[in-house]
Amino acid sequence: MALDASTEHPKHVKAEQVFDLDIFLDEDLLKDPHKGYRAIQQKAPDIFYTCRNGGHWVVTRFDVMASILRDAEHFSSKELTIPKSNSDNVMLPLNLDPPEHAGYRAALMKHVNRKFVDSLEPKLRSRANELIDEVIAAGQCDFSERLGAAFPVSVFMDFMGMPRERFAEFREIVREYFGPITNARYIELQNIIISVIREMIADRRAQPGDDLLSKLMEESVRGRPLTDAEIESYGFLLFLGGLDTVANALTFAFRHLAEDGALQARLAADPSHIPAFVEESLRCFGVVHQTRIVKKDIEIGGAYMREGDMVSCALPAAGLDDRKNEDPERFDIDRPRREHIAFSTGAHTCIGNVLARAEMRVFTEEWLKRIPSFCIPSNGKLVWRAGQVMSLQSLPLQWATGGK
Amino acid sequence: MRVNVTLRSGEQRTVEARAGQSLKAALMEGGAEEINALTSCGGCCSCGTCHVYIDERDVARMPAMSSQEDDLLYVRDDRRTNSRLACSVPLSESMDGMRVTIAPEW
Repeated sequence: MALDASTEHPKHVKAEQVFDLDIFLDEDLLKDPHKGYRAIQQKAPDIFYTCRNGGHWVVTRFDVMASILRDAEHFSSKELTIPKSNSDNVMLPLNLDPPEHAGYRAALMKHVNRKFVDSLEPKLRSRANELIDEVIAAGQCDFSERLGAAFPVSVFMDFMGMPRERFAEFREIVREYFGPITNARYIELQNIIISVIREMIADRRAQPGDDLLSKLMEESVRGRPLTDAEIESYGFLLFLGGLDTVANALTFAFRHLAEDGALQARLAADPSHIPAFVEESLRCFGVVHQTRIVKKDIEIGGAYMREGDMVSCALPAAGLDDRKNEDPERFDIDRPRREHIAFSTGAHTCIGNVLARAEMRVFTEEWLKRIPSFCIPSNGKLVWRAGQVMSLQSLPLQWATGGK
Repeated sequence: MRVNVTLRSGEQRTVEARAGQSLKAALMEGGAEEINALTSCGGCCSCGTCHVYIDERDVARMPAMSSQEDDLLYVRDDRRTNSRLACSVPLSESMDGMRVTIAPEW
């Protein structure tokens, strides 16, 4: 990565639009990325350019992000990485632009819809309880991996037909992938993921199951069956989408809940508020940033973006935008209006959002039935990761034992 | 111009609309907010949630469907020949008085 802030900005960028930010290593972001982005939103221009990481734009306001993410004429998804990866590996349907994109998206959406998620709910509940069983007697755990990751990731691995004994191995791959690494390593990890998926496809060809890869083998786009290369490409996306994002969203939510005893008591007494808790948490504690590459020159809010420029839409800042949500830093499950784009907006709105929301709701319900009161120990240290997929890598929790 | 809408509850309403708006935008402005799902893509023909049935008597005066809309409707197992995604139906004066039913939540 280029870490040299003194690099001169391109000529089409105005001096007053330059704001120095390393999205991976900025100290404030690593202390608390949501507070960090909220502060940047208030002190930097709505659209600014940083010379770090190869040079790129950052957008911090909801409406500007929404207009970019809904504008496939000027903004392409062909390159999604900052700094530019120049990778030949394609993720379906995430790297495609409309109109080519829709058919591939539909083929996947057909299998990750509300009916499917509803049918999964009993399994979500029992899986949550199995994992709580593992930690409850100890009265403490590091939530991030033991629960925050283990719950959604094991559900996802079952759904994909991945053997659970590879949990630690796969988690290590995604953790490294979303951290600050060299481009060579980035591509190497992509190739490792793709080879894992390729092996799985070969297995399913020999012995089909009821997992998602087997279903995609039966799927077609505009009447043409998907090829193995296409299924591999979906698998690559699913691996990255399924093995980290919800994990982080759930851990962020529990970090907040651990620090708010009154909210714990209220949700435990009346679980019907839990969906609002989940939405409010998604609004305040987003995970993913969305990158676009400019495919046609455009002027937006006084910024001239040139073909080939990279643009990072800081989705976690969108929900914290005071122009969209009143008193945005207040966590309030009773807000009459709440706006966020934690799952993005536009053509690439997260397909897994229905599953992610259900996982967060069910886990919170089951946890509070058994551990209605918990906190972060006074010596507990939170370890954050910034970048394009943000995470809380350590969240120590404790509670009184003797629970159910 | 006006659009007549049947909500999921069966309640019928008439909403004011403007030519050039999408059918989805008109329904939302007219208070039929159930057309805008929590999981909506924001009206970009990418999520399939703003599914409506056009009254058979009005189908002929609807604008043509793009391949993108057709692709997306593929995910709906409740698709019928008169199915449309409301975000992808631009309104024009010639559609004044059209009748539309919001499809079940999905």
